[in-house]
Amino acid sequence: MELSVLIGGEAGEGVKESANLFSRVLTNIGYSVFTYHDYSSLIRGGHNFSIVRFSNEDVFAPVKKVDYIVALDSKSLEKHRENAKENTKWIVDSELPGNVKVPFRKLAKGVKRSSAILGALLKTFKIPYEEGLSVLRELPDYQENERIFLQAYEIAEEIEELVEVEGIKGDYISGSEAIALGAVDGGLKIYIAYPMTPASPVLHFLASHKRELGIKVVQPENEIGAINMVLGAAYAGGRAMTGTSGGGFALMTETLSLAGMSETPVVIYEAQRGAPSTGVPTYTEQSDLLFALFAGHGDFPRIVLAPSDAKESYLFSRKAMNLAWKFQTPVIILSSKNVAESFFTQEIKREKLVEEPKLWNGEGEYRRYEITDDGVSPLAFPGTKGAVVKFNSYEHDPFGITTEEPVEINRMKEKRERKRRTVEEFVRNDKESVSVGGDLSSDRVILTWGENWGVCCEVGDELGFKVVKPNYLEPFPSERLKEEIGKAKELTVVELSISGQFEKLLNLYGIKANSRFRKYDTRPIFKEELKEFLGGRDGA
Amino acid sequence: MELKTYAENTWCPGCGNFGILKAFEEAVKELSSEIPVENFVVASGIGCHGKIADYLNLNSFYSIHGRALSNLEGAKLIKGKLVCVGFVGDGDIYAEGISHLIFAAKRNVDITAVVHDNRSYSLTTGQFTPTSPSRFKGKSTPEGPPEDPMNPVALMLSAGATFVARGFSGDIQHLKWLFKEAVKHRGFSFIDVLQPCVSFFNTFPFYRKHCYKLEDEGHDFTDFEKAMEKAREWDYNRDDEDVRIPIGIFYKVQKPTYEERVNIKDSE
Repeated sequence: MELSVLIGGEAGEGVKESANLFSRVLTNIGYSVFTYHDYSSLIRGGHNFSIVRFSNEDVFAPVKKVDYIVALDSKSLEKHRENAKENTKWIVDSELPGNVKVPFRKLAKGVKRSSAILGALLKTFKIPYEEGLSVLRELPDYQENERIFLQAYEIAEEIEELVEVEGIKGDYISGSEAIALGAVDGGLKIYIAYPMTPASPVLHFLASHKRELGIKVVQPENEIGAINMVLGAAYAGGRAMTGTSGGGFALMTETLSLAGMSETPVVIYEAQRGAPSTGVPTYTEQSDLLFALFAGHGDFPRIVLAPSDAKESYLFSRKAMNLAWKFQTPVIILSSKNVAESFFTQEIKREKLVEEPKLWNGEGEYRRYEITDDGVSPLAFPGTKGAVVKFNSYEHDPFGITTEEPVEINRMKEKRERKRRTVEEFVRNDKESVSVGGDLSSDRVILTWGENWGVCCEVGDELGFKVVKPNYLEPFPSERLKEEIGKAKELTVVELSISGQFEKLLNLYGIKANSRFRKYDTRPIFKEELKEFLGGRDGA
Repeated sequence: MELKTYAENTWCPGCGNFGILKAFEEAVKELSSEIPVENFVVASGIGCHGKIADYLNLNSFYSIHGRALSNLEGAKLIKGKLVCVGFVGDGDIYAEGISHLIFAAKRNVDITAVVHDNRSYSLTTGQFTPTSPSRFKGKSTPEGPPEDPMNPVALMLSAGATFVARGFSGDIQHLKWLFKEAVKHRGFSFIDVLQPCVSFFNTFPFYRKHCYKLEDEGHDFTDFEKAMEKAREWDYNRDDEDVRIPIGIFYKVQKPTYEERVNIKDSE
């Protein structure tokens, strides 16, 4: 069984909230849910919609054609004709033409309309109303929401019986919440960020849960202040992270180089949106890839990790925190809107994992940039008796004093280069550097990264394609990728970039594709689109 | 206590920065009975002033142009016992880093900002800065800058700094006293230090002739209006014979610090 429901209306009338409430109920009773939220860069009015896709099997991607459409206004009727199949049921506001009429707009004002939508949907699928009450209890003004919910439940019609599911498939969680929790479980002490869509949900989540999570959350004057405060926090010994999107990351690049030179641990969460410049702020793209790989001036090692769903967001964020401190180098978590703001049903097994970095043993004179074989120097923090801790943006000697001597410069550059090789070695040995999915026995391979993973795997399963994705974009796990590609007779690259940034990266490592699917309208890849594209190939 | 490092000092002979270094070393020595030296953290930006990080045998973050105060803010939020002193330049913090300076003052972060105000970009061989007067003929503006200098003392008072002072690097004893007062002040301390650049803008004779101490005239530093009046007494553009340049503490009040407010909010 697999069903999908689209809910459309104006911004501010509870579209997103209703989709999340409904999805929570579905998750609570055991379904796997993927929820995509589509909204424009405005606060009231306009048009928003959410697509809730659920199944008794795992779902990880949005679909274009849906089984049910809830339309709150005539614009939704108009706009979503393209999302309807022949037998799609329309559940509409009483003023509109449709299969089932519910007076959504009369029943409730503004965001509370979400309770009315929830009532109507639960009735539609014959889900007991008690299941709705349990999610409504989390809302403010419970009594009013309960009243609205029950009225809608009364009015709506029973249409479809869901198949029974055994056991809970997981938590209903967004990529953003998972990033936040992963960072906390990786030892985060302070989150410092300036608002920017679609990275802001991490800031909001951490700010509203900072007490129970035991962290500090700070919003400074701009992105430059944010990342420099992160460096200062790390210098003082505290694990810190910042988050932004492409435009904000552009502002941070100067300090990215400072982190590289001063060898300061920093984690930057970069949630890509439609670009360049202000671009398409509330939609998705993967066109910051090459920028993230090459941002900053000068040679220094960095790590770039790209999560594809909520579970990976949690795991990679926790890992990013540890790797930044292990190697004293910048780590970028390169996500995108469709991971950040979509909700997944996945089991997140939370566990604190804070690996101790290489620390000074207290013997002799402390040298911040001690020359070592692996290029990683022991850390000490200000406030330590007997240690003078000197971080430096200039080229420096082992103690941290500025130098312009060629011999010293070479020594220090070679130390950082050895660190790069240490990081490369680490990634080479990391079993999670590459993921494979879809039809594992197929010699037709899809190569992709980030948010497209779910849709590629689903389509790969159905049409017989193996799917391969690197989880690190730097250092690039090219050997593992080549092993997984094997002697594939067909290689398709799937990405969200008009110029094919990911394919360029693959070319850099000698991986050549013979087919490509590039989407760049800043909407995620809907399952049908990829199916149609790949279905046209031989053997599909 | 040895506060010098093995780094060779490369400031020009007679540079105003020497007075700041000397006054700070002495201030740290005198404060060391109350504050363990390992708790001192200095940060600097880019410019001649920045080299002070190399010359002090203290914890340091030799940062980039305009960002040193932000680094200190982050450090202070993590470790409250650290005594954070940012040495920044006038071009560094009044131009590139102006937003960070204003916000550090607005927040009342418990750090001290010492501005080496030589009113010239000197390490880049003499261009005008935000405090250069219109008579300053720099390499990028041979006819003088087509804009007037800002008044950082008035700016910091407006921004909400709780300790606002001006010093002169030619008066080391007075400057040492200002440093000690600033470091001991709980909250954001700002000191604009008039620090002549002997190579590109030698203002030593001018400052020697025109500076006077606020405390000698019984200035009430708890009175904001009086502080603002004193801040305006010398317009950074004026160089005539009648000029009087007040140095000393213009304003000093107590307010909750940013770290306290962040911590209280986090633990509520």
